[in-house]
Amino acid sequence: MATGSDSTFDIRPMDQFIISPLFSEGELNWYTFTNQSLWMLVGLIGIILLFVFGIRKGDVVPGRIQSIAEVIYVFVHKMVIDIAGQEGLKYFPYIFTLFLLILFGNVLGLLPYSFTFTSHIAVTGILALLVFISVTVLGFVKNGLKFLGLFWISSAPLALRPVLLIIEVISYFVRPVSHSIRLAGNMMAGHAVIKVFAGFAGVMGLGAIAPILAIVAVYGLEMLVVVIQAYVFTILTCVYLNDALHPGH
Amino acid sequence: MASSGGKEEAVGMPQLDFSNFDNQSFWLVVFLVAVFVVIKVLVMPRMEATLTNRRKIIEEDIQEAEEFRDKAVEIEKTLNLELESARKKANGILRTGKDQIKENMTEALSDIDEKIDEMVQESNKNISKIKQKADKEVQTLSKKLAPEIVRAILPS
Repeated sequence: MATGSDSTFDIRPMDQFIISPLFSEGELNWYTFTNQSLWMLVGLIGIILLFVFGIRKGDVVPGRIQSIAEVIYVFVHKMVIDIAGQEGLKYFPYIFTLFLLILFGNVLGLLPYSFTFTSHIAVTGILALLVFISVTVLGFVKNGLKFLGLFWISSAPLALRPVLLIIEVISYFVRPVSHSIRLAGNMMAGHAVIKVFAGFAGVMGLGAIAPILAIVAVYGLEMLVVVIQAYVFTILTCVYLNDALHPGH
Repeated sequence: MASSGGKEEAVGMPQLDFSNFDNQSFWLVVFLVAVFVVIKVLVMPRMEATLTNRRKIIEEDIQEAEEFRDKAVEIEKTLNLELESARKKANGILRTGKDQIKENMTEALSDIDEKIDEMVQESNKNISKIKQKADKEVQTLSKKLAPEIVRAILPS
């Protein structure tokens, strides 16, 4: 058992995030099927298994799988109503899609040797931008120019309003950035930490028990983070949607 | 971070490798649309049907239970009414029974008194008859015995 010589102590925690083509060599074209695409497909299959085959029978007293699917469905459904109101329900399919996509991406990413597509800023950035653009367009379509009232806080003293305007505009345009980096950062950090500990375990011989215990702990924490981040992304989407539907607060 | 080596080695953060963003975007959009279609077409109708069906069944069951409860309350009411009337009837029967018993007893007592009186009178009569008879016998006996006694006492 070697202990940390340069030749064996070679941790590459970021290698797990490399996107590589699965069935071809070399060039990565826009249509190339990659390890990332594969895990998106696995996510889609998982969603279909849980939400199509799981609830196929539609029992009045649900079984295990159906219960899981129903709990998730009702949870998001209730979240949309609670935050965006009844008008928000019209956009529930899209929000539910986002939630499932992120949830399955995050959870599947915890499997060893899997690929976490939600750890890529390109993926979360597009998701966040889609939310940002659609919510902004929706705000103008629903409220016209009144949507700009979101930045002009009429409840604040008049002297403060221009300052608040600047702050509100900046925070509004920072939304997609924080929205996407929060998710990707969390996913990346957790996986990188696990990989680093795993690298330690590989070179420590019997002492590896310590990093292995650490991996178990971090993994448990990640199980939590993975679900919470999907929840946070979705709930923020609901909040933004509520801003677009009711800009007057 | 590793700096050199084979193809499969990250240079810094693979997330910041913009060369494959087109690929990522394409597959993400495909995946997103696929999930959306699955949810919109396959999941939501089935799920909503299941949930509304369950809500309906629960509501119906609750309504049915309420009806049964109302019925039970009504039945209890009639039961109580019937119990009350039965109790009243029983009390009436008891009272009349007692009255009758009392009547019967007084009647019987007066009957017995009369009979006793009769018997007493009869026995009184009998006693006086027996007395008269005894008196007569005593007289006849004394008449018979008197000379004999005199003869015995007086030495002749």
